[in-house]
Amino acid sequence: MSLRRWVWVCWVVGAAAVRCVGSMNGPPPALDIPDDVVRRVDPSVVAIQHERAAGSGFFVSEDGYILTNGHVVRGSDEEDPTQPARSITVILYDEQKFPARVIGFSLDPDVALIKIDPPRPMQAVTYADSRSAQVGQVCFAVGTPIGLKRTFTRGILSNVERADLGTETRVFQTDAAINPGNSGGPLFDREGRVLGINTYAGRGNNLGFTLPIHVAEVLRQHFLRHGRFVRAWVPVFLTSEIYDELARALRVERGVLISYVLPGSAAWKAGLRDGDVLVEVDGQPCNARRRVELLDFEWEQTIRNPGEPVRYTVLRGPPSQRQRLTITAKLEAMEPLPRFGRHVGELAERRYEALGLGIWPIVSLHRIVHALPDTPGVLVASVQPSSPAARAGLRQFDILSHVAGQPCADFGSFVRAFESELARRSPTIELMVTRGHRTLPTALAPHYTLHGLRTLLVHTDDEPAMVDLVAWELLAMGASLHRSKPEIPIEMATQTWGMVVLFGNRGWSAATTNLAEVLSQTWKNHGVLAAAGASVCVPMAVISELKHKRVTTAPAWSSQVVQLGGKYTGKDVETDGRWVTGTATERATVRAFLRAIHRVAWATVTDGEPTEEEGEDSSDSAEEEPDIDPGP
Amino acid sequence: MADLVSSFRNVLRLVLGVSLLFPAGCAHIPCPAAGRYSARAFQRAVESSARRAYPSVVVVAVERVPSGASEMGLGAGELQMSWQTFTGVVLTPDGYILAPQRYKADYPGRIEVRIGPDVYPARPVRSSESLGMTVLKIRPREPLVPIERQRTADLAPGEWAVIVIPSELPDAEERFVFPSICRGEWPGRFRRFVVTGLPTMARGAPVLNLRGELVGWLDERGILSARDTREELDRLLPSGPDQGGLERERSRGWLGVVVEPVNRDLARRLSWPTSALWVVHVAKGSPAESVGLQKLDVIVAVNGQPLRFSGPRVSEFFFQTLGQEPGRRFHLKVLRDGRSVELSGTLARRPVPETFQADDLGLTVQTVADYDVVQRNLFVDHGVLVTAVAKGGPAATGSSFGRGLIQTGDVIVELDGRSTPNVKAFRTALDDVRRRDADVVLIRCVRGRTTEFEALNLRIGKTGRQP
Repeated sequence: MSLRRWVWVCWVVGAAAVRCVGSMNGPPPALDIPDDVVRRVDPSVVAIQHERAAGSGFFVSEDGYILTNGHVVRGSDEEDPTQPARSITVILYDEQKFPARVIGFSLDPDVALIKIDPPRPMQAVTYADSRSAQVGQVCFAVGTPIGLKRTFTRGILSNVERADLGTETRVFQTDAAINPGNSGGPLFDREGRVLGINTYAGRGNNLGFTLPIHVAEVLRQHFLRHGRFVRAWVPVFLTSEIYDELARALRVERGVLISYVLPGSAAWKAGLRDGDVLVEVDGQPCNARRRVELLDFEWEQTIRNPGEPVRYTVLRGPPSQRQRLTITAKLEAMEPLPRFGRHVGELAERRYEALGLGIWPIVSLHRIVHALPDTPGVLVASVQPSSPAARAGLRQFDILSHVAGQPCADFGSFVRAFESELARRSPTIELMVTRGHRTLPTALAPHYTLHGLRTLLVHTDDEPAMVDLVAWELLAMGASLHRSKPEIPIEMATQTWGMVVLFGNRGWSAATTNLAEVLSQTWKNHGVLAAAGASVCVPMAVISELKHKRVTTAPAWSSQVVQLGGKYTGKDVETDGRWVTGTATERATVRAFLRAIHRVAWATVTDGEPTEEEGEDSSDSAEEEPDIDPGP
Repeated sequence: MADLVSSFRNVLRLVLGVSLLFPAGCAHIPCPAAGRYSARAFQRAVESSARRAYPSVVVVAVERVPSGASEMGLGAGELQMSWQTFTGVVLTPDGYILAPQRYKADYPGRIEVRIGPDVYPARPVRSSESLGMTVLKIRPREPLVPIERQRTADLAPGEWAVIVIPSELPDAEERFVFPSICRGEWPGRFRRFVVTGLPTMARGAPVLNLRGELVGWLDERGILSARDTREELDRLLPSGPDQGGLERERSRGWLGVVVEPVNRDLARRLSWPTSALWVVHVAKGSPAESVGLQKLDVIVAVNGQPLRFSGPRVSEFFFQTLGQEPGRRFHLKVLRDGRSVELSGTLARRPVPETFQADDLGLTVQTVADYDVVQRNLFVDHGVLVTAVAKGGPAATGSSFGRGLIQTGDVIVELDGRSTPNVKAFRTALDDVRRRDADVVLIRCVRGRTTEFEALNLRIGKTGRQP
């Protein structure tokens, strides 16, 4: 080829190369979400994890307050639904991890407020005006769908008036992809302001539901102030929207229908009746022709302040004889919610595990939700199969109104009467049971497996609820129970005890030598010693034989226990012969502690000496036979 | 000579004695021949017993009708048919057949009895709820051979039962025999002998023992004792030849009590019999009320028999022993205020509540009775109870799919502003609505403890009127 042609080829190839390189540095890609918005909101969204579930959340303040869903942080305590999950970890966008504590949570509206203690200020979100949200508005969700952190998905608001999911308030519907793990995360508008908390995903494609941020904000303030959501109401009346046919049938244009007023309640006494049509509240007209309007109306009333007076204007009577009445009442704080609908409730169950019976106090909503008569008493919360309660024929939602022939009008009097029967170890405890329209006596026959074992429960003041649990369970097991603070009186110190149980973390320094004496004597007489938490150190300091025995306690006291010479295993519960220890950090471990106590004590009552159990020592072989101490 | 005779006699006695022992004695000698002998004897016993029942077993075939077809609104084209077969037993020569299920006279499917190649349409004549059996009637071409019911026997645990079943195949005349061992007895008003491992077709089969005596009738829970059920079966058969015409199903005899078992620990504590029943409710106008039975009486014996078992089985035993038919005498022993009281009376016919099907509302209602209040935990004792809601009708159509305005179990207390304490008042109020040709009608009902107000749109729904 000639030189000229070569030059021409090189020029053509070179020009093409320059053009290609040039196009690699071309104009930037089109972004549906502006880059500065992404960079601003990304650090405000966190992933939340605990032992059973995971979700998302977002910072609402620089000092580390995070909003998420209630169902993300709820606990699994069957007896106390107000307990959140145990070990919640928050993971920031840059993978830093922090432990978190729950300030408050609710299942409907599904909101929770948690807090971490970050070393530096966090990026908090700004709120959008969710009351002015519009269908078609562009929105994007950020969260951790199926564990994929920092996922951005985009869509529009498909509906802003969703009222038929059975939730307390209206929710927004979006087609931005919401998957399991997005729960608790934010839904932003185009400018990166939060419209709501992503809460539910529907069955089907592109059906996501978001709780409006103006609802979540109310709950946030309640959690900070009271630790729970305190609703306002005039107990008890139910309302309904006046849909088209109802408006024509009632011949009413505007208003809210009061469908039911509980007879005898404050609303009844104030003068409200079934069928009244509410037209004004405090002089302001009110109207609910559609369900979403009813939910909005109810919400506005619920978030008022308990104690405020309220004035209802109602229409009463058939169209031809319609009266217009004004009724005054006072808003009260709503009683703790029972379990119904999406609510797990706020009532703790008092469960006697040895009897298979759990009870609740009765609240007025129970009577409506479960169609209960007005009989006073307590409500059966749970009955375990094949237990003394099951053999007595008890069922969930029965009302127990009498113990041993004595009427018990409320929870406190029932518990006192019932536990005094347990303390007496009555072979059968007669109970009056109301189920629907049937009121019949039955008899509960506890096993009393501990057969009156003389038991001293020594406790401090810092864990009253758990001490109560230990006490009622020991009674239900049939122990002859006596209680004392660490400063044991001399009369108790000189008695013989089959078992001593220590419980509590703070205040053992007040113990006198009487306690040491009781512990030594009980141990010498082959009695059972049980201790939980910090109290584990007390017998260990007194009884040298306890050194070299397997022991456990809460992590905070593990070093003390090791210093005292114990073989610390770190399990929730540990037994070594007649020495039972536990961490007892929350209900599940307290119950495990009690079960271990029962096993050991029952064996001493029947055989004289419990069988030695094999621990998990690394040096021992698994095939070794357990030692059986023949006893005295 | 005398010595010879006497010793000869002794030898004869010895030989006779041994020979008498021989068949039984054979079994004590564990040799194959002895085994074959026993087995052959057993087989002959089974066959001869079974053959007694061969002419009396037939195939009962029932056309299955899905229950949904009887609800309002389902089109006929959507029904699916299939046949179930059981064993039937001939009770009389003129064609009364015992079938192992309960069928009412108005059963919508076909029932056939197949005897070999012959097929006869069968009509349910009478059924017994306590037996769970029905007597069918066919018109056989020739007189049939009824099962021999006079010689009956019980079955002991470990005893052999001979179960005879006809072949399921069409036109087949074979019979099959299922020898089974009785595993025990299930007590009750009608005892059942328990056997296991039989085909479903075997339901209804007659069961004999090795001596050819009738033990009972096979159902899904075991062999119903023929002895215990003789009286009940006799009542199902008409005394004379077939009358023809319509036969109504016998209604259950009615005492009018709601009972609840007494807790055993409580009974022991109070020194009462441990099988006892509380009287929770006495229905108004019932035989129980007329003989003076009171709420919180404790029933301990019925018709001379002390109550047995515990839990729900006490109630079962009580009602089965009480009897089935109106007019039958009953005798109760109850504890009241520490004394024993005896009460006697006669069972009445169970009252049928007044029912009304309002097609233009899409509802079926019945007047609330006092025992409804107790049984269903109602909070209102006057009104009409909703027992069915027509799908797609005005009462079923709310603003969300699947959530109707009115539900079964609701008690309607007002219609169109007028009180409806019973079906008559409801119909009167509804007639007014129809006369006015109203578009909407207001209903006030009680659901659980609460009141609901709903307005039905009478222009919509399949059964709504067209404008």
